[in-house]
Amino acid sequence: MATHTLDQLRAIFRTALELDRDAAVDDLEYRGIESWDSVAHMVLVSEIEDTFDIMLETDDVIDMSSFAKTQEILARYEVSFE
Amino acid sequence: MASPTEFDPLEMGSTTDGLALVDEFGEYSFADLRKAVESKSLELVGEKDGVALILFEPTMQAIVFYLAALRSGRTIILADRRSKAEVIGNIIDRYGVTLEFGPGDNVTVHGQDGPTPNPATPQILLPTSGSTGSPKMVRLPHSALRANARSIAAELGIGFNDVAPTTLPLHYSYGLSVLNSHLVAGAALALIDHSVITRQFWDDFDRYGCTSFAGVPYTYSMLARMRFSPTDHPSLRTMTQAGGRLSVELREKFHSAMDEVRGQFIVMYGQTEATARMAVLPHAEFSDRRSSAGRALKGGRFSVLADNCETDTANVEGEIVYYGQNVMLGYAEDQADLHATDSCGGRLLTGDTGQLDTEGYLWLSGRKKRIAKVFGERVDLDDVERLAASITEPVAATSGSDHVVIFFEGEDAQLATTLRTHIASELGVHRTGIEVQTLPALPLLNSGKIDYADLARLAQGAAPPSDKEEHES
Repeated sequence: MATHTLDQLRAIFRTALELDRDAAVDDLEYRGIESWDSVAHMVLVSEIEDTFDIMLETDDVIDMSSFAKTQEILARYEVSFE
Repeated sequence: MASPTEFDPLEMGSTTDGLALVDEFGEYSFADLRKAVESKSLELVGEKDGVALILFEPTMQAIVFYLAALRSGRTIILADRRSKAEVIGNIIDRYGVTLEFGPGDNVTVHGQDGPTPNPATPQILLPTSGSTGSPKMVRLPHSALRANARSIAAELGIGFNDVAPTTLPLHYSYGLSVLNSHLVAGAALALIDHSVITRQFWDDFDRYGCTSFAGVPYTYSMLARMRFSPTDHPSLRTMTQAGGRLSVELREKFHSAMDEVRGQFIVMYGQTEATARMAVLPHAEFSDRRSSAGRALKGGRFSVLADNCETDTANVEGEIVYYGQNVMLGYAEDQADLHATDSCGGRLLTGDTGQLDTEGYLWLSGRKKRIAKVFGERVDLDDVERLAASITEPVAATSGSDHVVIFFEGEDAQLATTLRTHIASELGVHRTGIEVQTLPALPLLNSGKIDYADLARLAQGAAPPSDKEEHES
């Protein structure tokens, strides 16, 4: 099982959602923040797939509605965080 | 006094009592909708004359207001509900708006000092540039909406049992044409205010039994990115694509995906200046014409303008000209322009270049107009240059595939970042929709004007920063 740091995932969220470098992201939810629109979501998906070298299924792309949910989904792709 | 009704999208549906609108609050039959529209239009007759502005959300109330304004022959401006307050204020002042609908169900009456005579021809005004806040509008007579809605409904074979979800904004010509062409055919709209990348959207899509899906190229790249399959949504019969050029790879992908479920994938070509749509490439006619823009809609025709000479001869390259009842009256920048005469006479210089084949199918090669699409949204490149010029000059903007490319002179990386952030924020788009390139000097023509053809080549050489799919395949 590939292990990464949660900071890597946080950085991906900040880039995709165009947030400040030290913005808190752990509680983020889709629709809870204006910059998380469909374009940002696709950037998020791309970055996650590239960084962790996985291919997300349709159901997972549309279920990735929060930072916490994203971690759950990634666990199913054997991507875990320390 | 308002003018008589020229376009009543409920005409046909009223002969049935089928479903007209469905949303999370319930179902509305054509009879329900007509009743609501009639009572709202009586209210509107009591209001003062003048232009109505709708910040168009996909809600029952907004659609009732829109239909009532149409019915009472008002001139209506449709605008993005996310528009900034100063943009709305500017539109209200310039066009003498007396009634403002939205956001939500709010109706605001604006006091105008003098009388505000209605234009002799009732019009729908649609923005020319998505998010730059430009007040320039396309003037469409109500009769153009009727003509286009009817020919689209006929070409797509939209029937009583069809249900289309609101996948596109309703102030956008293509989104509006989905609404009009369905109602006019007695079909229904499913009001879904969620993006296609959410679970809610697809749950609603299935629950309402949606039969069709309309998307711009960016919508289809998202669907491809999320590995969408029509087999997961058995009610889906027809997918349509318009609003810019979709790559042949994606056209083929969706054509064969719909073919497998015995549905249809239909490519269309249009412009806001022609209400919405001008050409159609039906599913069955796709195989031999994979990159064609299709043939003219019923009631329309194309010709080609080459060397100041207009011809319908095949295989002549030039600017594409379209004739049809759906052509605009012209542009407007303020209230006075609404009273101008019809400057087009049913003939539209599309600004797109290409040629016709012997069977009348259109093959596009390029674009003369200074317009880009950013994630599906139309952006006027001259507006972008004006915004960029406040940061640095000289600067030039051109169109990449689904993003804007800005060129400036120098090597200042910090300036490039500033420019990118500024333009993205002014346009309200994700940063990946803006690419900034530096050049030692902008290429110029002999006339001293910027050589946009050369910049376009440079822009095409660089793949869009957000669209990694193209690199991988």
